[in-house]
This record gives sequence, C-alpha cells and structure tokens, in this order.
Amino acid sequence: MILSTTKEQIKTYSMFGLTRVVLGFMAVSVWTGVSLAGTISGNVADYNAADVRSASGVLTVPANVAVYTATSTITIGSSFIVTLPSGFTFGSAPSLTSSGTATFSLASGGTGSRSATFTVATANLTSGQTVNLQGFTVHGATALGTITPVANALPITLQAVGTDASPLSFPAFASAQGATAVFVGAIQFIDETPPSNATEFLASPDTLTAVISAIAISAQTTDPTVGSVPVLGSNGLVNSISNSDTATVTISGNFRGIARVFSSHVSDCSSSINNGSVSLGSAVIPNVPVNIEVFFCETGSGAILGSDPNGFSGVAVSHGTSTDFLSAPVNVEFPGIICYRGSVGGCDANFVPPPLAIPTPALSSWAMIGLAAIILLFGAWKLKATPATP
Amino acid sequence: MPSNPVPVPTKWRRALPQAHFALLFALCFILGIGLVLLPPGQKIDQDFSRLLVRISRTVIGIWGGAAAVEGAILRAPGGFAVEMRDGCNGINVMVLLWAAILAFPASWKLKAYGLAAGTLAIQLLNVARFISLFYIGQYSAAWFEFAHGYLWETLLILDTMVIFWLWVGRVSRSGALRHAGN
Repeated sequence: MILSTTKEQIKTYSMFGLTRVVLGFMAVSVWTGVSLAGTISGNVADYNAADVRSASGVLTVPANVAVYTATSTITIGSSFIVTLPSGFTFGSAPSLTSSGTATFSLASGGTGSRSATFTVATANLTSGQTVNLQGFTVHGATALGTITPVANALPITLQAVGTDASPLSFPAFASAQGATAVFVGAIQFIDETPPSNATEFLASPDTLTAVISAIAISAQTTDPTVGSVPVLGSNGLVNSISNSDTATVTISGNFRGIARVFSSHVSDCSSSINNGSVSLGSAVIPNVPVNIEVFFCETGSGAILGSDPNGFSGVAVSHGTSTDFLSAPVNVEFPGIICYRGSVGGCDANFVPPPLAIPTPALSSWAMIGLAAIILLFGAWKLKATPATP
Repeated sequence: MPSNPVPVPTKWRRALPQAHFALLFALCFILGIGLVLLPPGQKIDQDFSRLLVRISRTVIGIWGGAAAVEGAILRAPGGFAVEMRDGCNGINVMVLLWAAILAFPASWKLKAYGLAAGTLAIQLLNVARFISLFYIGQYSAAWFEFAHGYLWETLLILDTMVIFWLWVGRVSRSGALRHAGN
C-alpha cells in the first residue's frame, strides 16, 4: 500500500514534471521566438513606381524574391503555400525549386489567384535545405504605383503546412521614384563696385548672365534608402528612363533681381534649351533633359541681385510631362555660393543690399475688365444714339 | 434666275453697327494682348518699362529730386524703390483704348489722331502716377497702398474713359460716324 502509494505519487510527480517541462519549453519558445518552423528570407523586388503605373500593375518578378529554409524535415506529400500581397494575383504559373532533390508540383491556385499551393514530391525536404521561388509575373500590383519604401515593402508569405503554425512573411515588394539627380551649385560673385553696383555678376567684363548650377538626372538603379536593393522596371530588368524624357526642376533660393532663368547644354550659358519661370524665392525650369548634364543659368534684370552665400536652400525634381518616373531624390553635392564681392577677394558679408522695389501695376485685372465693359457699352450706346444716314 | 435677297428686319439692321463694334473691339483687344504676350512683345514691353523709368528719373531730376535707375526700378537715395513690371507701364490700358478706337467706325485719319493722343494722355498720367507713388511710398506705406490701389486706379479708368468719350465726340462732330453707321 505504501509502495503502491509511493508509485502513484512518483507517477503523479513525473506527470506533473513533464507538463512543467513542456509548458516551460513552450513559454521559452514564445518568449525567445524559437520554433520548429522554417525561416524566410529573400531579395526585395523594388520597382520604378512610374513604370508600375505605365504597366497597369503587371510586373515581372525575378527569381528568389522569397527563399524558404527548412529547419526540420518536410515530408513528401506535404503542402507548401505561397501567398502574394493583397490585390496581387499570379499572371503566370509560379514554380518552386529546392537546393536538394525535392521537387514541387502546383496543386492549386497559381495563375489568376493570389496564392499557389504546391505539393512536395520526389524526396523529403530536409533541414537546412532551401526552397526558392522562381520568376513569375504578377497582375494587380497597382499599389506599387505609389512610392512604397523598402522599409514598408508589401509582404509575400510562404508556409509549409503542418510545419509552420502560420505563414512566414517576407517584405518583398517595394517601389521608388524611378529617377535620381545629382546637383552641383556654382560659385558666383556679384560685383558690388561701380558701375555694376551689385546689379551684375563679376566677370571680365561684368555680365548679367551667369551659370548657377549643374544637374544630371538619370535612371534610379538602386533604392534611395537601401542602396543594396536594385530598382527594377516593370519587366523585372534594371530600371531605365528614355533619353526623350524631361524633368521639371525647382530651385529654392534668393532670386532677387533675376529676370530670366534657363537651362543650357553649356556652362557658359551661350545657348539655351528652355526658359523657366522665376519669382523672388524660387526658379522653376521645365523640360530639363535627362541622361545628360544640364546647366542652369540666370540673367539679371538690371536691378540689384540677391545673394545666396550659403547656397541654394532646396532643389526638387518632378517628372514634368514624362511618365517614365515620378520624381527624383536629389543629391546636392554642393549647394553653391552666390555672394557680393567688393574690391577685395572673397565674399563681402558686410554688404547689405537696399530694400526690394515695390511693383506698381497700373490697373488690376478686375479694373481692366470693368474699363473694357464701360468702353464697350459707351461705344455701342453712342452708335445706337446716332441716327444712320439713309 | 435672279435670287431674292433675304430681307433683314429693320431692328436687326439697326443693331448691326453695334454688334460690329463689339466684335471688332473684342478681336482687336485679344489680338493686342496676344501680341504683347509673345516673346518679341514681352521684350518691347520690358524695354518700354525701362524707358518710362528713365523718363521718370529725368523728370524727377528736372524738378530737383534724386533717384537712381536699376533696370526697371526707380530707387530713392534712402533705399525705397518702386518697380515698373509687366502691367505697370500702362500697355494693357493702351491696348484697350487702341482696340476701342480701331473698332469704332471712323476715318483712318481720326483713328490715327485718337491713337496718338490717347497714348500720350495715358502715358503722361502713368508717369505722373509712377513718380507720385515713388514719393508717396517714401512718406507713408499706408498712403502708398491707398494711392496705388484706389486713387490712381480710378484716375486711370477715368482718364481712359474721358479720352474715348472726347474722341468719339470728335468723330461724331466730324460726320464720319453717320456714314460709317450705315
């Protein structure tokens, strides 16, 4: 009895101990994230967002966008599910390959579906072996038409049914602006000595026109935030933009006294590609060619010129009329210096230009309309009031 | 077989000169503004602004004042400056008056007289306006706003109306209007 009691106690204690061990392991697994499921990695497919729009969301996805690594044996007959981001569907039949001898056959889903289910065939997938998703096309990837940073990439999921408790997710689909730009500002001095009196740029002789910067806009081939991620076109190849594309460049700075801004192929501004518009605080130059170095020039109006001793405060590139890219992050290598210079070398920080001139329009638009109406009515009335000669 | 002309009602026939004037006025005005907006027109516009600024400086100098010219800017020794930009030189008002004179039925001689006299009157007033704003602005920003936004705008409208009214009166008295009104 005593023995029996002892055995029962031992059995009870043993059962209790085993439960504790299992529960403890589960708790540790949850806490540390360790599990028996596989792991997922991959290569982000980062597309030119403008190209995604042009292709209406039909994209070619390169191989190995997702790679599954088994951490336990996955037996023949097991199912493997690949799921695309919301809104995406397979445009072509996906396929899986393994680093071992296991093969995969498409069991359901695939073309036209958001997911595809494969069956493991030929051999078991053993721990350490990888499963690679081969290249395919997707439809409905219109979400990537809006810039989607790599950090917020849309996920693809893989799940070995029976092994992974839930699908394993990898942020696989991102999109970027499509173009990139390098900006270099120029150093120009405004001659504050007579007869220019700060109305012309220092030269021999002084000149109203001067180059203020250079820019080179080209296709974005690597992601602006994660340089190791290549940017792709909708065809899955390295992104490119056409030579016939143009951009609109906005430069923020002090454009006081500037009557004209224009782009030029040459740094001496002797020829012009296109005129821009200029206001006191910014210059906008449209139709700037891409894939070539372009210079920006400005021409003073004869009034006192404004200085930018610390360089231009901002440069932005938008797509203009082109559809090959949305915009371009600008790498300002040097913001430029435009400053007053007296009889001694270097910038003259003590020169204070006189206050701005106030424009004095003769008539406002409404006054012009009113005056036109009055003259029209008066003329018509006069004609009516004057009898016609038979 | 001779065709019968479609009879035009008397009421419509009487309104024809007015419609003719209205259409021609609109056409001339749009054409004139279009020409001003074209690149050669813009160049003339800017050069004309600078000329007016230089004239203003000369007038100020004649009366013993001091001002410096920077392109289309007139600057006082104290730093205050007024600028004659597009729309400041009265070209728009001139185009409006020219359109009305050209559209109104009159002899070419009278039209030439109206164009010359009207241009001169508008520009004399505009230079006076520019010089007065140059001085008023140095005295008071509030008075500058009033003079610029209300006083001179009203005076310019009145000036243009009076010029056209006087010219039409002259055309009327000459008898050219009755012939043209047929």
